[in-house]
Amino acid sequence: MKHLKYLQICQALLASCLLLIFVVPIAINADSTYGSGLYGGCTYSTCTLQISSGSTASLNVSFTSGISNACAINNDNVTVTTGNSTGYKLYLMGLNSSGYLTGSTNISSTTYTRTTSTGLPYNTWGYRIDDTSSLGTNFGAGPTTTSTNPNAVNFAQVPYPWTNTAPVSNMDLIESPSTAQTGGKSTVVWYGICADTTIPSGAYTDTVIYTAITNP
Amino acid sequence: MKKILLKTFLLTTLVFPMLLSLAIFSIGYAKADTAINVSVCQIMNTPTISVDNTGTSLNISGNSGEQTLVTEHLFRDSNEVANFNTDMQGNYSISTDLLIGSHDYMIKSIDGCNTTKTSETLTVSHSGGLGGIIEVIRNTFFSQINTINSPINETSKVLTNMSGTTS
Repeated sequence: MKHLKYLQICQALLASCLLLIFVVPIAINADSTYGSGLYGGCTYSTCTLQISSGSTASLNVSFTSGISNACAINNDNVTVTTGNSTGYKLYLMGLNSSGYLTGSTNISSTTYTRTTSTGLPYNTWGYRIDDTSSLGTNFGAGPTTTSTNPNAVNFAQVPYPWTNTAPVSNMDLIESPSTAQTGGKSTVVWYGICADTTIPSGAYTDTVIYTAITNP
Repeated sequence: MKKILLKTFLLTTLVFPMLLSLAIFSIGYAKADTAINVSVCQIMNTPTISVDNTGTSLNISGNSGEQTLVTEHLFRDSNEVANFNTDMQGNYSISTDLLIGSHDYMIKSIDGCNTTKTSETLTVSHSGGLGGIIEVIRNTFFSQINTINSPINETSKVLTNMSGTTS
């Protein structure tokens, strides 16, 4: 009978410990704000991880008389702040299920990847970042500017589709500092598009999701 | 005793992995999103317009002025009577009633950037009366049946009963 009581006490203690270890930290760190902000603490709740990006990146493709194609380029700025001493990894992925910019027709993402990136073919869009050879890309050092022709410098497909369960192995790694970034580290992501006269005039859109994960 | 052991076993083997997986997802993880907004604005030339008739209806066709999909608005005597899309090459064709009298037709092209261009105005004159009656009789005489929608003497009909001029 005494053994039974001991077992019951042990069982209760075990259940309490599991709750304390796993459930309580989740409740403390949870933040359901979508878009930007704080989503969780570092591994041992000793630091925070914050991310922010521009709400929109606008690209305007304007044709000139007598020329049957045109390109446009613009950038987005992603800032990650963390006190995690081993840094973080920043990933990029598109939301559209087929990688399209959607509008009165679909504009496909380039099929080239970060390791095979090349100038944008017409009627495609893509992204590039400068000076990321350490991440195994061949984008080139740049510097990219708003007057750069996306048809002439390396761009890659924005991987897709982002979902709540998309593994990071399907995303593109675009930044990987190995130290704490308490002042915030900025990453400039360039987006480009090239079109010819077959693309109907109008608006086209997709959403890009940036995911930051602290290093262990 | 067995029940308590069983409960302890279940607690550690089933609940523990579930809580562990939840804990893994709660490590430092943050996301942000940016909308990529692209506007494409093609150059629009002046749309073209031409007319033809089948004997009972008027066919209006041409090109939008852009080599791609554009919305066309058809105006008759300054009133919009139809709007429709071109094909992906900018070509359009629409059929409307062949009205008696003189009427002005004009096409206005509006693309997705709200660029607007209007065609020249085409005046279509279609007379009824004796000429029309003679024509119907003539066609009936030769073909016996199905003459109105597919007149044998189409060229004669167009020349006799309808003329198109631009202004």
